[in-house]
Amino acid sequence: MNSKRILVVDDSDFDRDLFTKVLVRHGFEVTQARSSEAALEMIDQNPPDLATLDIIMPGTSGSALVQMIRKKFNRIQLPIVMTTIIDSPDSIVECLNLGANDYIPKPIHFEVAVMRIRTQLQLSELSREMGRLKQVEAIQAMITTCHHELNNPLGAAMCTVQIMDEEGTHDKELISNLKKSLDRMSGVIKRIYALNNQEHLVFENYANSTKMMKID
Amino acid sequence: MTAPMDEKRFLSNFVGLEDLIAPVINKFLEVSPSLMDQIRQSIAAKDPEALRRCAHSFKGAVANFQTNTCIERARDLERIGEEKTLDSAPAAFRLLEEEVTRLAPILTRIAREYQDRK
Repeated sequence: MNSKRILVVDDSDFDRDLFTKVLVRHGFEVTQARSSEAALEMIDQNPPDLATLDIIMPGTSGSALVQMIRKKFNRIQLPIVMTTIIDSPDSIVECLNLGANDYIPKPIHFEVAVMRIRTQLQLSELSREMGRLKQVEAIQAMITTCHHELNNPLGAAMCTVQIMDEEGTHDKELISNLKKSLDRMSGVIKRIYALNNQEHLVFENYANSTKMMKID
Repeated sequence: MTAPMDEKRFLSNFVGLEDLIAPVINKFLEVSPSLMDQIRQSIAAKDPEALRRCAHSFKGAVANFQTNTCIERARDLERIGEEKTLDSAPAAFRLLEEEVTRLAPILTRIAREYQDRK
């Protein structure tokens, strides 16, 4: 956790340097930007694990910067913590609505700030882990689906071929059955392939805790 | 008259970071004359936007030292810049200067006390 990279964005050299020193002391790797424009460039080149943004900065404000970052990174991919000495809660609410994850009031209480940053990093990590688990679940369901949907027509096709082979026949009914099995398999494969284009995969229970993809 | 800063609260924020206290104070004492000068110049130039910006920067820097009155004085100047009511700026600036004058020796003493802390 402590080797996480933090980008500190603040136009005040004094505040930026002080907060950087504190974060470095707590084991974070810190990069600094004194403007929103510089921050955007740094984020594009090498996105940090978390960014802290001052709300009031000359040029592009911190709240505008939140919007720009959110066009490229969501709250899980790049958590943003606002730092502000603004008295009005409206600005804080606005930033949170625009996509900031949290805020730290100035003057910064360092211990609280570090804990809040760690919390955001942990939430981000947990969310990513949940995403990975969902992927694994989807892969398992897909395997079950393929096995279930393809096994029956494949078995039927193999039986038909075996009969034809043993009897040395080209019986039209057997060939028709074989074609039906192959068509069914082909249809299943097409429907599974079509799942690639679906945003939300729908699962259905197969047996006990085993899930399948709904492909119809 | 209230104390220029809440020393206890300031120091409690640096528990485990005591070696940063002197450098942080020294840095502030180094940059604050320049920040004050920028505020003075913005008032002389009758530039409300520059006054708002400079007063905001000063407020941010001085806030790290738990200096409620000083923060209030800087906030007053920031508001004057926002509201473009520059007539009251010279008097407000004098009040800020007085507060900074009261604050500086306290910061110097604390920096001296923590100069060699590791």
